[in-house]
Amino acid sequence: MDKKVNATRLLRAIGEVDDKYIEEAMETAAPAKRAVTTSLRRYGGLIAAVAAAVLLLIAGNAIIRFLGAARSAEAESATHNATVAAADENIRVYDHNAITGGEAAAQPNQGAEEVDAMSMETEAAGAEEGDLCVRDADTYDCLTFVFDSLDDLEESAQLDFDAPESVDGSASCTYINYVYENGTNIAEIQYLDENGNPICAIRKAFVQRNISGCGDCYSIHDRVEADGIGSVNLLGNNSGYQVAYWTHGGYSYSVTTVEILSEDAMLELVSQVG
Amino acid sequence: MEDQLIIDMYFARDEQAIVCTRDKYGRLLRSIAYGILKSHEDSEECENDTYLKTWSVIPPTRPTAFQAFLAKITRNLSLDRYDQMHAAKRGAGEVPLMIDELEECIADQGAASTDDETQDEDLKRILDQFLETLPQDARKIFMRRYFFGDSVNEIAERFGFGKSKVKMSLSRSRDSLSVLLKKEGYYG
Repeated sequence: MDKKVNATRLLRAIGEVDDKYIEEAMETAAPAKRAVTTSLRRYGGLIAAVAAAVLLLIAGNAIIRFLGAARSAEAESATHNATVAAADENIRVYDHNAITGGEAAAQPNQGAEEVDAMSMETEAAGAEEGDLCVRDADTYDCLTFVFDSLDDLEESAQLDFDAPESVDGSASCTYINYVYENGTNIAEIQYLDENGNPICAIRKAFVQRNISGCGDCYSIHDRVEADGIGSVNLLGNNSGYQVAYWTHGGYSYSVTTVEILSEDAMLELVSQVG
Repeated sequence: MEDQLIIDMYFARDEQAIVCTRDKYGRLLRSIAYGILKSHEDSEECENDTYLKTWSVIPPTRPTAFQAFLAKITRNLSLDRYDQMHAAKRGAGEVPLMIDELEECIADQGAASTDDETQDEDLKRILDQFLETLPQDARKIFMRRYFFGDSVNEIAERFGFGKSKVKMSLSRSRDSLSVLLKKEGYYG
């Protein structure tokens, strides 16, 4: 029997495998979190040093002060390698051990308003309406810097970020920069409702990949063409879309919403980002 | 609407069952068909054929996993349509690529001697056994590639993996499948 005939038969037979494997490949739930301590444990000192170097480049006097704190954190990393404190009262620095309930406690810098750790836990959310799915595959290996203004975020992430000042239902914004050990910055604007719950997140980064943090959380993956942008990937379910991600001009972008949006509504939001 | 309620409507011969099925799973089924056919028009026809097929087999069949049940029907109908469309010449899209890749699992002189029906049953058993042994990520990658017809790029985007990781995973999975098929006396 011809090899191609047998290969075709094999392809057909794959269509008859146990239903559980089909459902698993279609599953909409986010995968289990991986251990949060991996890189921070392995590279605790390195992460602190890289973070300090990156910040030195991008934030002037405030960062110089931060560097001193980061160095202190590096020195302390033999015993607890996850906690980095910032000296500038406008910058709050968290490690994900703390955010995700790891062994080290979060220590926002003195004088700064503490961010509700649960609001950051949205990274593990599933794809149901009501959750904001902004999990990132590598989120646990980065440091999170929270700012009070878009200007500060742009300066930290070293990019210009155009995004709407508000979205439907938002009352305020939080500006976050995820700094990875390789120096990558992912800038994120989180739109919060009047109760402080995130309802939308818009990201931008100088990388070429899906930075939405979502990929396997949705049953529907569509790709559409948007004027002036090109291809936009839309993720959602049969009711509509909750995630859009695309690349343009060397940058990657993503929009993630709690509300399930129509294609037109999602693309309208996308068109305001640059 | 719960799947079991929809299935009950099929058993009651209530045509609203098809409407409910389309509302709940229509886009998913179209996306499966499109992965194989790369044609919106053909995908919609396969979707509609899926409803007809479902209507004809329920009852007596009562699926335990309705979503997977529909996915299988759509996939098979899409492959049938693909074969019809490309009977005379090698077609475009992912199907010929998938077949080329699966040929790696098969030796040059490897036909099973059993009859077709027995062979298909055995293949299903072997594939289930093979999938059970794969790590979850590798299994999901394998299924997205060879069940849903996703390209390497689409899989990488879907799961947030690098393309090289996806390719490597698929290559290792095919190697494992080849060893198992050979051990079981198929195509090895």
